[in-house]
Amino acid sequence: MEKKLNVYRLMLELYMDDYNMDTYLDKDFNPHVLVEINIDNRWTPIDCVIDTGFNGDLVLPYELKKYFNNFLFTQKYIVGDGTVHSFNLFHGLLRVGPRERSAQIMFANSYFALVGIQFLLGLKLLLDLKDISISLTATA
Amino acid sequence: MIDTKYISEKGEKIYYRIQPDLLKKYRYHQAVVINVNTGEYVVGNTNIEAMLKAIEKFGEKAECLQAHVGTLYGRL
Repeated sequence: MEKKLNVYRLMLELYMDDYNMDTYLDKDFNPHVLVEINIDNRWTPIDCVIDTGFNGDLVLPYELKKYFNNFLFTQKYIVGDGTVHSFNLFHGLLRVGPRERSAQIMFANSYFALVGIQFLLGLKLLLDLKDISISLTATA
Repeated sequence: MIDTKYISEKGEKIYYRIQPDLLKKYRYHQAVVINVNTGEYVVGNTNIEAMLKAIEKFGEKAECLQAHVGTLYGRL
């Protein structure tokens, strides 16, 4: 149990070192970040859209759900069309630069992955749509 | 088997019962995790902090609903 809790505690250490995450703007100027997620005991880079209208941590396509068995909680969400849905949250691990941290992952019928506000906590996001640039930095 | 409907319906009832107290003691943005079988809850500054407290207090198998002090709903 203690070993498991230490895994969860990874998040609390947050980010101790400066590190620029791998980000880009797509042709529609949507911000993306490359996040390494532990899937089936392998660190797998996943291209995620940065969605500040999403106040959770991470949404992955439903086809990846089979790799995540550690159910955490249920949470109700209001989605873009105004309807309310209950989502199950699962525990996962992701890597930001040299550091690993816990994540709350939910799954949706979507082709792409999303990161939300909970993911961005502790990071500095600079989105400049005048000069068309983006950076996402972990700072001490 | 996760009973999402049960957790979400029972958790919602408890949430609205305790929300007045939560709003007096905590801040709107803070995360709350409610054990739907005991009615107990924990509060954290972030979802992950609340998650850690919930696992420490209730264990990993407890049926819990996560919400925020100020609102039951997340946005997606």
